[in-house]
Amino acid sequence: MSNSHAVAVQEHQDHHAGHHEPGFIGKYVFSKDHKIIGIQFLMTTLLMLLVGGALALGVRFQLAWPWRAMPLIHTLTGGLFGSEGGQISPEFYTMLFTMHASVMIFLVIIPILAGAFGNFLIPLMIGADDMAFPTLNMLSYWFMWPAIFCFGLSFTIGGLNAAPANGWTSYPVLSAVVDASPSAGAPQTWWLIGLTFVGVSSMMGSVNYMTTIINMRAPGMTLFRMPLTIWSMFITAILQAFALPVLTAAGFMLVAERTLGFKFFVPGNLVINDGAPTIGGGQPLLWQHLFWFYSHPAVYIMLLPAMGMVSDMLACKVRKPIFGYKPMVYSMAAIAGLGFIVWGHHMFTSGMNPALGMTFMISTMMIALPSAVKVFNWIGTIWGGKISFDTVTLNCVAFISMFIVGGLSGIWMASVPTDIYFHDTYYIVAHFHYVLFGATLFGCFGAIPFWYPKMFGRKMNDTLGKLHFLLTFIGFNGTFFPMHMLGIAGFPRRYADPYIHPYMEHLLPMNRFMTLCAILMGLAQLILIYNFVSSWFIGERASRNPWNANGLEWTAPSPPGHGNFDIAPICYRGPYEYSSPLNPSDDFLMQTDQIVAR
Amino acid sequence: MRSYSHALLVVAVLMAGGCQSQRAPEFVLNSQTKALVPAAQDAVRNELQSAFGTPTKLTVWESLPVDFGKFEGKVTSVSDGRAFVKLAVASPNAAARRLPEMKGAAVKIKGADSGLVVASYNAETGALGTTGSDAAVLTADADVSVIGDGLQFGRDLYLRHCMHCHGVSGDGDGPTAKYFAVRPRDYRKGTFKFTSTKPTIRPSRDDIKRIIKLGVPGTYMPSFMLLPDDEVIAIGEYVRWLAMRGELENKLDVELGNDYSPDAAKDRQLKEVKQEIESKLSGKVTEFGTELTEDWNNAEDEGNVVTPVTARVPSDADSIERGRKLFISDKVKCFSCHGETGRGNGVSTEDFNDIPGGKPGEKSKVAGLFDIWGNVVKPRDLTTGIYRGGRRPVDIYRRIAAGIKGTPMQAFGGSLKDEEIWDITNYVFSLPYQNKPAAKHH
Amino acid sequence: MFWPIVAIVVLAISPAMGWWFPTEAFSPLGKQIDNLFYMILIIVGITFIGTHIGLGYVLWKGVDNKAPKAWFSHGSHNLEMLWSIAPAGILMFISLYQLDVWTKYRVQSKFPKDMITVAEVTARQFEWRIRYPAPGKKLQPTPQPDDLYTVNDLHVPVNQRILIRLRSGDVQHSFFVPGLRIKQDAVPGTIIPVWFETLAEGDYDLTCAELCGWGHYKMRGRVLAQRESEYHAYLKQLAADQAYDGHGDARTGGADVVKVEKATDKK
Repeated sequence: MSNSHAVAVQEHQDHHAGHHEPGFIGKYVFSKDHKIIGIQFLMTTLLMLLVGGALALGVRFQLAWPWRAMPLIHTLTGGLFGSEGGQISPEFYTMLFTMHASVMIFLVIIPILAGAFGNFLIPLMIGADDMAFPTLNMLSYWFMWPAIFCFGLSFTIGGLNAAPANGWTSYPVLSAVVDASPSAGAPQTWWLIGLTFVGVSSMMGSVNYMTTIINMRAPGMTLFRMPLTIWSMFITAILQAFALPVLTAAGFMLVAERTLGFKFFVPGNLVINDGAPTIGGGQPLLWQHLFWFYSHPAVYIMLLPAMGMVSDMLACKVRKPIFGYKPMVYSMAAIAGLGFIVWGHHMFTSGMNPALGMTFMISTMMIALPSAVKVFNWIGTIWGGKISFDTVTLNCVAFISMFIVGGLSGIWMASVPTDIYFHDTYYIVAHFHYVLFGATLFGCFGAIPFWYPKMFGRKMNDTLGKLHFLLTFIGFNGTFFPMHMLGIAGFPRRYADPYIHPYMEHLLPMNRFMTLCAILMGLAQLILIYNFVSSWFIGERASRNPWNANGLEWTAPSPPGHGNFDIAPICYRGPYEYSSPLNPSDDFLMQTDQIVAR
Repeated sequence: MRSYSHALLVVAVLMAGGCQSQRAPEFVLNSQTKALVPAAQDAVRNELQSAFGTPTKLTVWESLPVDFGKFEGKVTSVSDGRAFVKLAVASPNAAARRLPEMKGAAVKIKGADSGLVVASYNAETGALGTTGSDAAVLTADADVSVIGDGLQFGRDLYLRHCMHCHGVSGDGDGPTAKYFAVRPRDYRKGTFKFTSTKPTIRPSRDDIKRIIKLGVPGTYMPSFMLLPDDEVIAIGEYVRWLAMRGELENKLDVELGNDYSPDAAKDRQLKEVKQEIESKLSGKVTEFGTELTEDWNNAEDEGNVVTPVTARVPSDADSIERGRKLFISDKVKCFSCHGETGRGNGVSTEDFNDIPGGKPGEKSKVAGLFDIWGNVVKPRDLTTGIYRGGRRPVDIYRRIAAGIKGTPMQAFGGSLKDEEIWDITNYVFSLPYQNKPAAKHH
Repeated sequence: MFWPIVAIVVLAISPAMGWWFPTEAFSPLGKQIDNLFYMILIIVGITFIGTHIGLGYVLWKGVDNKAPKAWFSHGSHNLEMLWSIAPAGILMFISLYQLDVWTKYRVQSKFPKDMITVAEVTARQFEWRIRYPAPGKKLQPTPQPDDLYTVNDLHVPVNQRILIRLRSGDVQHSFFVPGLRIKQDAVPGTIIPVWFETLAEGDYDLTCAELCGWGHYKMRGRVLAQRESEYHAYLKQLAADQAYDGHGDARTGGADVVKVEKATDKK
């Protein structure tokens, strides 16, 4: 009894008829092929990762060696990172952390998950030949570049030292009144426009993904036979579609306030920078509600796809089905649904109605539940498995562990009385870096080598991958775990020089240690970049299914050609039938394998 | 593997290159100096450097009325080429605390320069480490004094707390300053707005300490209320030192300005010019130093404090009415700048007024009121209840009697009687509480 | 699997190393917040250790697994029920356990009835401006001619329930006193009442906890809790300073010099 890895059904797609070859520009630059677009997203976001990381190192440097010019960088950039007196100025510090967060959130994490992996994997995993709207897909990538341009322009337009400096949360009144802060002029407006472009790009993607997943699944692929990656992308797309318009609206309102004199957010009678008293009528809290209404679902947008991908990778690496597939799906849906009703937990101390504090506390506590269920299910997945420890497995296990830390630390913030103390301290910074970097980014660091063979037809170097993992893991925990302690010590966020406050003076050595770990972590990413680029040329060539995985994408060539599959796939079962007794000769059973009766 | 060695090489290069390229803070020359011919500029720069040094290597010019910080003591023993000095300090902690600032401070023996500079001092053992010329000059029982640690202490605090607005040179042009509607003070004219001293006198140490502690409400000068007293005093000394440096530069500019501007000296030989400048300036700096000393010492003289002769007239309705009449009278003309209702919108804000610090009668080409630093100055809106120089009765009295130095707010102490000044003061204090619009105050 | 042990060790030594709360909480609500913190720490600690033991165990077994195939299991309904209901119960317990702390802290109808309104604190870029009523008078919503003003230095009587009215003069700030465990954003356009009680005399750091511009870190203030006699004496001194007319006092070092009292040691 033999298993064939491809069903011998030839099907000629009608819309391939009369198809002409695009030139180089059409094929690689303005490509409408989801695979190329996915790779374009991947490379752009990896580049932005380095930019965002460099900005973070600027922040960390100031906290470790306050008021010193950065060695080398200072001279190389012609004094950019250090103004008069050889030290960075306080307003420059505010720009560093604002742009670090803006770049990381809008130009790295959201695009890498939805744009890079979503784009590449969705059609392949569901057996489609491309996305539902290929042109829209191309536009969604190219709209990232105006966003990058706007963010970059906001750095330069006020003179090199005047990027937006009001936090990525951009709270009015600080970001609304032009005189209130150094960058609250043109740079802030450009930042908002950049945000709008990111939003447009995301919306295009989200519409595309929802349509593709609903309409273009291969025959036999019911919803509950979809891999969890697809579920996560689907749910994420729904989150994007419903939450993003609120951010865009808020952004327009703020631009209108700043440039057209509308009064949404600024109350009257405020005297800022010796200006005339403001003529107002606005409510600063309105922005916070609108902003967080999007930005809380945004954090789940930045998490769910990684959860889905880790589930797929983990099942493959431990050669076992996912423990509790349907609870996993329902948990993701619950996280997304509950994600819409928890935004107020960012605002417990903001002065909003205290009754809201109580309701948001309860909903926020409840959102911990599906996350916990998922963690238990991942552990259950590994239970009784056969594990091979390579780069992918290491990163996935790190994902689980870091997510546990990040999730658990959230409990103190969900509980309102403790959040009174922890809000706007480094405790929050620790929490979100554990979930965004520790979980999501480690998930991506696992996903890159896992799907690299499919993307480029070669495997990445596993030794370098393990080295990258080790250094990143050590650097990451060294940088961010102590932040929990800093938060407990009452170390506020966004302080250029915390040490003028006596109760924080003794925390300087710890901050130095954290900065050194951060530098280690930053340098370690060069290993990833090197591995990524060099494997194009000297990586071991990969077969169609180098990991012996079950998904539909592994039936296509590595890399897949135009149209993805040489034979249109038909799906017979779920994606996690590893170690199935139905297949006596192998420990995996692909979704497309037909079991021919004896 | 090859890739690892390449990586190590890159890291090594980065780290090696890094350590040498810290950019140190530097003093800048003012615009008048920069308008001179290069030879004159160099001369000014050199004189300033020898009298004041650089921000990283301060020079102590002992005759200046600045508390440079001094510890005195005796060498108790010398062993292994190291001197053990017992410094007379208020408490053992005082010396230990100032340890970082003592590094680089000059060591004098019997009051004379020794060429030695402190490298380390252990307060417990008394071990004094020095660098510089021959350390063997430190013999047992020698009288030793260590000078300059106080100024260094002030400098370090200044760079941390003040520099980014007030600039390294105290020119009010630090990187953050460009975002301010109300500019930080440029110390280099020796003029400070909110003082307790008479119109032509420098600010006293207490004036500077007050501003640092209380801040200037309504501007971006924050209150440093919680800095320990010794830190505030050290910063104040450094600010005074910067002001003196600026004033010396001004005096040199005045001395050289006529003959060495580009117009006057354009065709002259460089060598000849240099020699001429040298001879012109010889002995001048000492002379200027004496002037500075006298000016700044006068500020500490009680006789130069603006003191009301009479106690404050009780603030009843009559006094306030008299004050109001004076406010709108032609004798005092407060309304011409402050407006008839005290809102700061008087006609002078739109007139072509005298150029501050310029020739009398010469009018500015631009409408509005300006201070001597060239900034637009808005007459205070007296209805807000925010008083930049302090809200005590004596503060308002001083603003009226002695004016606000450097601004068009002139001194009325000569033309008004004490009781009249108090009446106006009472009127000013009543302004925020008249015609109360809702929620107007801060 | 070495790292969770490192994490726990680091956490365990943190209080001794000074990487912990700056002091114990010196207010009653603060003490309750600390209790809640520790309770959650215990629950979370057990969860963290438990999940990591589980994770470590399954990983170790998995590496050692020499069987030809892994365990072909799609899950267990009973386990799903167990680990859905148990955490849900624990989380609900945590949420409801200290709801009363929150309501006492923020719901105006639940504020103590015997509060003294001490001052109006206006946060502005970049300092805390404080307005006290004249000694013996009540604080009015609008400034009065005899109000007393100071900056960055809030004195309160110890062991009493104090109310301050928190405002902002320009952008958002946040009134954060770590030693008392209070934090409240100062929102422009609103006046927010903040109450607290200090349990010991002493000096509590006050700092800003909402980004307000380049000088956000400069907003260093303090709350000084004093015994009543000293508190009233302070206000009298402030009133005298503020009425100082300088008459006949040519000492440059006279009342011109601003004094900041040293705090007594905390108990």
